Parts: sequence; structure tokens; C-alpha cells
Amino acid sequence: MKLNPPLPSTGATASTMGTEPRNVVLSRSPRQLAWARFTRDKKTVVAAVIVGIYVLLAIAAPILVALGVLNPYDNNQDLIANDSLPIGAFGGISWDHPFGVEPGLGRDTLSRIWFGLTFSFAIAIIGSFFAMLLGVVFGIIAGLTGGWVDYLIGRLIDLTLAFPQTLMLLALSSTVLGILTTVFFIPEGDLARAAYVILVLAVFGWVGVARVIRGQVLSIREREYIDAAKLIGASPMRRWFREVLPNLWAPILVQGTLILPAYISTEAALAYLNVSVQQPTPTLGNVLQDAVRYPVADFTYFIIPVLVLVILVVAFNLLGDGLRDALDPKGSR
Amino acid sequence: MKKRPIARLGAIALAGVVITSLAACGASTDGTSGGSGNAGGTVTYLGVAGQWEGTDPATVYYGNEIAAFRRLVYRGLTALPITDDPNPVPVADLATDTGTSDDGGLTWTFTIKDDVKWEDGSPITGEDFVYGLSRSFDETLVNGTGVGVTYLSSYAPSVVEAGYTGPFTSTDAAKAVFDEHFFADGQTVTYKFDNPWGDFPSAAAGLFTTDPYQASFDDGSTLWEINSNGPYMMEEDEFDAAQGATFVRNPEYDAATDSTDLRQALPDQFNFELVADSDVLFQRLVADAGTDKEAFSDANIPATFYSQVESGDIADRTLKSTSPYTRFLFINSLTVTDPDVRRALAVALNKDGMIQAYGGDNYGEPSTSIVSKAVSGFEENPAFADDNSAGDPEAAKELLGGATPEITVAYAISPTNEKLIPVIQQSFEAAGFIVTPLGIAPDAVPGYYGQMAAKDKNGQKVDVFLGGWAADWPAMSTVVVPILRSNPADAESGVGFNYGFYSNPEVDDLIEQGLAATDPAEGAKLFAQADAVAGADGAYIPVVQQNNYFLYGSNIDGFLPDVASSFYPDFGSIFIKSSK
Repeated sequence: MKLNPPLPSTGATASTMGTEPRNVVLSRSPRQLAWARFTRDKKTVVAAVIVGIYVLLAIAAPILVALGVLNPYDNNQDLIANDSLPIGAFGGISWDHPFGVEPGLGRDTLSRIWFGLTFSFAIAIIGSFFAMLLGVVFGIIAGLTGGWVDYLIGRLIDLTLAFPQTLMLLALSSTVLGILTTVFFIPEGDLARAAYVILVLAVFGWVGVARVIRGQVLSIREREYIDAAKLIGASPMRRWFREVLPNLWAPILVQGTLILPAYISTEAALAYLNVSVQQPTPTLGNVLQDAVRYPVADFTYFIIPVLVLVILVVAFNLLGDGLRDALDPKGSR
Repeated sequence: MKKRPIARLGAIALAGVVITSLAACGASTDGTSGGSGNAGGTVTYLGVAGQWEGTDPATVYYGNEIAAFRRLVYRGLTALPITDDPNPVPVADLATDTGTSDDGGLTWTFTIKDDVKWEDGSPITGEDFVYGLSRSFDETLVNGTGVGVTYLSSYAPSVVEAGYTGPFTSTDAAKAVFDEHFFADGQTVTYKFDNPWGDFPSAAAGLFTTDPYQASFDDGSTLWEINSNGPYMMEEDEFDAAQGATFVRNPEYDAATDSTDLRQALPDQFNFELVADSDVLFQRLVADAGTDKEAFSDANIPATFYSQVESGDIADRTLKSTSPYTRFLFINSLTVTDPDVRRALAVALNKDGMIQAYGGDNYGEPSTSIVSKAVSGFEENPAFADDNSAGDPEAAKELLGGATPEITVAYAISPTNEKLIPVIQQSFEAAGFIVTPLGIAPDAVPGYYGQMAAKDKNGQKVDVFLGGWAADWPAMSTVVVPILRSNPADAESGVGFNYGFYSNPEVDDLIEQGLAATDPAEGAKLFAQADAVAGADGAYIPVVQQNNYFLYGSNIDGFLPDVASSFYPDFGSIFIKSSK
């Protein structure tokens, strides 16, 4: 009998041989399989490294500010010419100010962007955490319960999606800010504004997550082990969160990686509309808000924050796509 | 830009001089061809949407609105001529002369020209003038821009005290008091004041309060309507605060009743085009394409455009001049009661840094008074003349004597102000103050100035706040009186523009003397003295004397910011170059 040439990577073929040691059965966990797929994908690895650097930078910024290495708040008006633009070519780039200085005040652009990264990240991470939490909980409940509960949540999702988000955001900002400060005793100012943005991100962001999770749950709940759990009398809570949830980590991780950059750019858009954290506290959004006023007058000052944001968002999106391919290769897009 | 209240209150230079003929000093405008411009064409006025509050003459309040409408649609008793003279003399407009008074300004009589007409063809009568004035007392009509009542209450207090509130809501008793003061007989209008108003003819030129109004036109929805008696009329039924309007020739206007000193009315049409974003406005003017070649704007070039407009052909299309605006910091006298602390704030402030943040040399220069250099009788306030414009924290520390007062600085949130606040904060902190910035959001209700006007600052602790003021008229009184005269004891909100609630009997005394002075030069001196006393007392901190920096299209000529137009471009002289 003529044997097919052995395919080392497929365990089944190797086991039929059963002779040579290098063809020993390599039982690999789903995690290892995912890792293998992940590392094979060069662009995802690069994206992951960039994201990693960004995260490290965001964590390091408050420490560097405390140590005085970064000075996001100090004016250097001696570096500003009489027309309020920085002295020197390329927005006043120098060894002390590698990204140049801000027109008018002479604050260090690198410090402001770097420290702004921390605030933007913090807002986006907390916002996406709550959006994921709401989305996962509602998604699991809708998917598992079905019936009128599913219908109700489905309509709630439709309703939320039908809201004119940006308009509501602007119209409600002062009212909701008032409620946050008077009812929830969040101190007025940046903290309340950050809380408002987080609230908005969570309230409007959970719907997308809920839909994806519900779809996953619908396929999982038909599996035999769920029926088995039901038969031996496991409580609904146990079935939802102990049996189903662990199988949802992959889509949750992917969703989280995809909504985080979206929220960072949403924060930037909100800052542009004066809703987010205010100057002088830097965020990527309000640094950008100032920079976009200078596309001609000070191109360097305009383009650097734009590039920082673009690279960040692209890297996160590539990482999210790569994670999805790795964790859920057959998954529905 | 922020809302900038403009002084409409007060006296005017060269009081009561009756001039019947001014033929000789016509439109000698610099940069134009001596008033004999090219007629025809369509001029586009580019403005920023949302800044206009009404086109009813009772609501017109901002300098640029007055600049536009006085020349195009609303003629008054008198008007100021098109001229680069810093002290122009009013000219008769709808009246046959600039008014006569036999009793030193208590009673003024005007005769209205016979052949002047509204846009529907009906004649303008003396009654129309009395009716127009009566509307200025109606709080609903003036829509929060109540310059008329503020102004008239100084000179005809008995009408206001009788409770007169305009033609619709007044009691018969109050109407009787009004009718005793202001009445018409055919084409003759008589104004009887309680206190002498020496320069009433000049006030009538600058205020729309005394303009005529056609009673039959007053149907209760007039806020955005225009009933023209000038060379142009609005094509649309209503002015669109977001888009603008079109002004075409008014067939009922007879140029023979008017003077080319006041209105050359050369273009056939004016398009008012309002855009949402001043950046877009200036991008269009810089590009100078198509009909934008025949466009101009009364907005100041933003700092972000300086590098584009300072060189080449574009520089020829710019015009820079001293603005009647100054910007300053109010000090809340109710919370910062110690004059030494107030002085310390003034000494510590880094004005140079603030001007850099505003936009540098093009924006303006450090100022030493709330009064603009464009105002006749301007004197440097000696209290601030020797202050270091870069701030002197050491001198401020000395004044404070080791104290570290807590100071809240309020501002309206805007891209410009967010660059100013760090400079203010750091210069105060260098002197030992503990500074808390308080940003008021653009959509706050009430708005920034509404909150600052309130005695309790809307329940917030506010010690220092940003403000600006323009002398719409080149007279010291239009600045010193509204900002420094004490508010009434029971006022819950600042009267005029005294939002710092500054009160000093010595200043009030000098102001009263200045208002009573018959010689304008002597009056100006007294107002300068009042300013000096208030400055030494730390009533406010002067920051910047602003420049006007305008840009216009390459086919525009006759571009002249003059006194008559509050240093905005004069609509009366503008025209399109013939050599296209």
C-alpha cells in the first residue's frame, strides 16, 4: 500500500505512521494554535509591537511628568516670534523640543501629545470596559433567554442605534454634566467631563458588542454540554456565566481591540466639539483641536498629532483584525 | 469670536455744532479715488453666522451692524460722513439740518425733509420718528440689547420713571408723560429732555434709537425684517441669521435727498453672505476666486492666517488700523476688596505673553487704559503707564506682603482663551497667588457675559474675568461711564458694563462733572482723571490695545474703516474697481 507523504503538521497522518519520534502526536491547545497563527501574521506582530509601545508610553507619561522630564504645562514664550508662531523652521523643532512647540504659548508639543496619550487612553479604556461589560451581559442574556427578552433587547439596540448620537451629545452635555456634578458628586471640571465622555461611549457603544456576543451565544447554546448542564439542573446564572462566558473570550478580546481605537478617535472628535476634557489638561483630542487651526501657518504642529493618532488607530485596527483571524479563523465577520 | 458688548452710551465729540453744509470735506478716503468710484456690480459682504441678533432698528446694537445698515437701509436724523478724519462732524440725513436748540440742549427741534420715502412709497413723517423712539423703550422689542433705555434714562429719566414701556404695553399715564417729551407736528419733531443733551445730533447719528419707524409696518414680527428708507432694500422678507440676505436698489430712494458724503451707493447690489466658520471665510478671501474678488469682511484676520496674508499680492489687500477695542481683565471689587491685592494682580500680569497668545504684534499692543487710542482725548492712564508689560512678580509679591490670596479667573471657553489662561495663571502664580481657572462653556445658559454681569456671578466665586469693550464713538465717556460708574445699590446685575461692581464716590463725582461739561475737551480730561483714579485703585487690569486687520477681494476699492462705521469698513464708500 502506498502511503501518502507524511504531513508533519497534521496529527492524524503522523499517528498512522507512529514510528519516527519527530512525528509524535503534538496535542496543541486552542491557545497554542491561536498563538501560532498570530505569530505567523507579520503585520499583526508589527501592529502589536506598536500598540505595546503606545501603551508603555501612556503608562510612562505621568511618571515622566512627575519627574519633570515632560513639561506639558510650562509656557516657553521666548521661543515664540512676534507673529505668535514658533521661531525656527518646522514649528520650532530643537533638541529640547523634538516635536516643536505650540504656537502662542510655546508649550512643548511632545510633552502635550505624550501626556495627552495617557488621558485619551484612560478615557477610551474605561469607556470600552463599560461598553464591553454592558454589551456582554445584554448579549448573553438575549442570546440564551430568547423569546420576549431577546426581542426587548433587540429593540433596545435598534432604539439606541437610531439616536442621532453626535447631536444628542452636544445638546445634552451641559445638562448631563450638571447631573454628574450635583447628583453623583463628581467634582466639576475635567473629571466630570471625562466621566461624561465615558458615559457616552458606554451608553452608545455597547450595542455593537451586544449584537456580536448574542450571535456567538446563539451558536454556543445549541451545543450538547449546555443541554447537559441544563439536564443536571444547573441554575441559569451558572449556565450563562460559567458555561457560556468562557467560550466568548475570543470575540470579547477581538471586539475590545477594535472598539478601543474607535473610542480614541471618538474622544478626539468630542474634544473638537468642546465636549471632552478641557485645556490645559492635554488629550489627543484637544491637542488636535488646536493643531487643526494651523494647517498652513504651522504645518509641523498640525501634522504631528494627526500622525500620532493615525498610527495609533491603524495599529490597533490591524491588531484587532489579526487577533480575530488568530482566535476565530472560521468566525463570521 | 466672543460676544463683545459695544458702548453705545454717551456723548460724542464736538457737541452741538450745527453744520448745514459740508460739501467741501467729502469722501477723501485713502486708497480710493476721491469718491468718484465706479458704479454697478455686486459686492459680497462675508460675515460670521450667528453673531447678528436682529435687523429691527430697535435691536441693532453691534458696531458692524450699525456700519452696514446706516449706509444701506436705515437713514437717521443725522449721520456721520465718510471720512478718515478722526473727529467727524454729523451731517443732516433725513432732517433738513442737524437740529436746533435754543436752551442749551434741553429742547431739540428737527424738520424732516419733504420728499423722503419708505420703500413702499409712503412719505416719512415726523410721527414716524416719534414712533421709532417710543419703540426703543419696549424691552421685548429691544430683545436684550437695550441701549435705548439706558441712554434715554440719563437724559429723560421722568419718562422711564413714569413706567413708559413702548407703544404697546404702556399705561395711559405713562404715554402722556412720553407725549409731553417727544412729539411731532407735521414734518417737525421736538425732543424735550430733563437734562441738557448738548451733543444729541451726534448721538442721533450713531444710535438707531432715534430712527423713524413706520407704525403700519409694526406687526409684531419685525425682529428680522427691514423696512428700508435708504438706497438699498432687502430682497427677502426676512434676514436669515445663518445665511444672510440680498440687498438691491430701492426704487423709492431719491439720491437728491441724500448726500454723497454719507452714501455713495455705487454697487447695484450687496450680498450678505454669512458663513459658519471664520476660517472658511478667510480661506475664501485668500483664494480670491470668482465673485469673492468682489467680497470683503469686517472680521479680523485670525492669527492662523498671518503667514498667508503677510506677503505678496495678498498683503496689498489687507488693511491694518488701530481698533476702538481694548481687552482687559475685570476685577470683581466685591470679592477682591483690598486695593493692594488688586494692584498686585495688575503688576504681576504678563501682558506681552497674553498678546503672543492672542496672535502677536498683528493682534495688538500692551495697553495702559480701558480707553482705546482711537478715542479722542485718550490719555495714558498714569496708574498703569510704568507697569512692566512682561509682568513683575517681585513687585507684586511686595504689594502682597507674603500673602497668597486665592483667585478664580473666569473666561469663556474658546481656542484663543484657552491659550490666554495659562499665561494669566502662570504670571499670577509667580507672584504668589493661588489660581483656579473657571471656563464657561459656549452653550452655557446664561452665557458668559450674562453670568459675569450678575452680582453673585451665577453663584460662582469669580475674582478676575476676561472682558473687552469698544468705544463705538471716539469719546471717553462711551468707555469710562459704562465700566467705572457705580452700579445702583440694589442692582443684581451690572448696569452698563460695570460687571466688576467697581464703586468709588470720587470716580462717580468726576464722571458726573464730565457728563455735565459743555466743552468736550474739558469733559475728556475729567473722564481721563476718573480713569486715573480708578486705575490707581485697581479697578481693572488693561491688557491689549487691539488692531483691526482686514482682508478684502482684489476688485474691491473704497475700503475705509472710519469713525462713522465704528472702524469697521464703511459700506457707504465701497465699490468695485472698473478695470477688471
